[in-house]
Amino acid sequence: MANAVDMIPPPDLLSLAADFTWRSGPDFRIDEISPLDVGCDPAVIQMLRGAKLDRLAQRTLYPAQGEHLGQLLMRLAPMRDIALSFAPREGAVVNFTLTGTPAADGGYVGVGKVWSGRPFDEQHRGELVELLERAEANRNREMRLREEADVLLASLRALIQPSPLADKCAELFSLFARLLRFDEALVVRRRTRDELLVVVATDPALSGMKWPDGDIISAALMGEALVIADMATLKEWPQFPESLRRRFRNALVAPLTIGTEAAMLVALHRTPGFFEPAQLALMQRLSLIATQAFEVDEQKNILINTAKLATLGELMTVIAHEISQPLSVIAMAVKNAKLALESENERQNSVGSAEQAIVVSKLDRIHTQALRAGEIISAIRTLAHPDRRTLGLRPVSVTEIMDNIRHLTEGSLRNRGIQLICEAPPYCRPLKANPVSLQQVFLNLVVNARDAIAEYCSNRNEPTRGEIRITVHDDRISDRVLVEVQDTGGGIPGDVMNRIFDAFFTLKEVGHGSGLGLSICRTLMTDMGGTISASNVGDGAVFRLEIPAYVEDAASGS
Amino acid sequence: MSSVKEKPRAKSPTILVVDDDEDLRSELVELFGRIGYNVLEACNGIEAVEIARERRPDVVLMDVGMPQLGGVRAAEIMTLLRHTEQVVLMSGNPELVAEAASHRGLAPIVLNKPLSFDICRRVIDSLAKPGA
Repeated sequence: MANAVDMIPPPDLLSLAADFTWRSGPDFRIDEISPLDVGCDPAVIQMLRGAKLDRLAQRTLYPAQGEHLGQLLMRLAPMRDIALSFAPREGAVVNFTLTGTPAADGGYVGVGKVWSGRPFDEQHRGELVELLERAEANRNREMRLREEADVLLASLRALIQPSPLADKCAELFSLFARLLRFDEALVVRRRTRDELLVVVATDPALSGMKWPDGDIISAALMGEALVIADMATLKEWPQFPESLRRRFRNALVAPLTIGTEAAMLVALHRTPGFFEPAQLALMQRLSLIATQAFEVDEQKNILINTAKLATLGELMTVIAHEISQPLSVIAMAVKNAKLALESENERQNSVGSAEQAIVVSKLDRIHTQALRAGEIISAIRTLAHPDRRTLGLRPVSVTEIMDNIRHLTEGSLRNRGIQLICEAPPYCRPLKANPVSLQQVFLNLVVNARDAIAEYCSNRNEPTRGEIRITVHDDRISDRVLVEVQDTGGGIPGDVMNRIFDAFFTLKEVGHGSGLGLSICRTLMTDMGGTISASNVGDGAVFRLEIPAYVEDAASGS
Repeated sequence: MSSVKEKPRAKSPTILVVDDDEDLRSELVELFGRIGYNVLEACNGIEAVEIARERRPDVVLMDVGMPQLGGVRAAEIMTLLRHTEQVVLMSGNPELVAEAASHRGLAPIVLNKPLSFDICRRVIDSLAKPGA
């Protein structure tokens, strides 16, 4: 509490009719204020305590001296009956006048009178009304922001709930509906090659719908949010299903990211022009939240896949061990049989009959095949445990690999009406590679090409027909040999091109691809010092393999 | 093949084949018999150690994963007691086995399973018949 002597205003002020005394520091903050009369409204005292005079100046209703309060303050001039007005609550108005003189410390000392309850005077009614209206508008704006914040907060809460993706989306959509007031909302993403599907929708009738290619999707995939005032003006409008065209005309679109894949969030309304461009910012914020929802789900899937893969790896190791034993027995037994035949011939001093020669060649074949199966088993085990991957690079003939691939895939390709064409120059340098790995890479690419062609044809309701072409280019100058595997399966969609080598990414139907094939190819190629890349040519995809050519090591001599 | 039989030899080398898989062991025994070895067999590490003590084989070809006494441990015992000169191990994970053996101060040759007899024979011949 301040000292009582200080609080006594100068005598000329005391002579005025006053309800309270006040005093401000050099920063114009009202440090001390105390009522002189019990009838004085305590709310006014409370409001003024700690308030700053220069802020109060904005509320000046009536500068009795013909000068604005702010200007008086700047000059530290005495003030007289400066009328100020406040509307602390709806309907209530507080008016009061301040009178004061500059104090020695740079502040003011003065008195004030409250004129509460009614407008200060008729002359200023207009200004008061304007103030009230402004306050009202501000209150509405605050309400809207608060609602928006509420929804965003509730969305975040929904996001961290451990509920399934569908439930989460439904909850998010119902929250968003409060803000955007759309009729229906949906998420469109690329499900399979070339097909945009509605994966989540507020109306179950819409989910699973095919979304036509066109301006909307290309804008969204470019990361652009947009309002479509009237969807009927779009060039893809006729391609929308009748049911959708009848119900909706207005759309609000925001890009969405699922994993690293572009998708979009669409809000629909029946009235053209219902959504305003101002809502785009909000829509984008919502799409950010939806992105998170999908992200969380995607992460969970990857975790499940990783766990599955770990189990698979263990399983592989066990299987590999269990199979390698019988394979060894087969190989040994065949060798024994062959040696037995030969020693028999030796005893009789004959070369053996023609049939015997056939038997021996068959035994040789069984022996080689058993060993090859063994090598594949080892390769699988190697993949299951990449840290144990051994290189074993040696000269490999690319034509031999192509022959093997032809034998391995011929049956399944012929059944599907797909032709495998292998082209290699008459002389090609051997490759420096691990034959099992290289064969695996080729096999993966051919099988992928086969599946792509089959799906492409079935999507167009055509009988499966196509061509897989393996071409070897050897310029015999560079240190690498180039192999291209080209198909006619419609190519790889541009927006996923950079993801195809990622583990767990697949364009095949759910449950059909592990999403590991190309990732394994890349790993194997990198291990062998080669590279793999993909592009689209014509109506198909081309995978380019660059494999180091084998160079005879002069030092080794052999 | 014929050269093996005709080659005059003062003494055939002895090999001990150790594997718990009856089929694989009998095939190996038969094969080494055909190419002129005296073949002994054992179905686990304990038996292998006992036979090695009595018969002192020139070379031991042994599986790693066996009940009772595994190949790496048996190889350690045989080498320490000097019951044999050479131990060759067979395993599906040759890198891991070589690693495990090196921790015990051994540096055995480890053959990859599934086994190719031609490779196996080349290795065994080079160990058992140093002059050949």
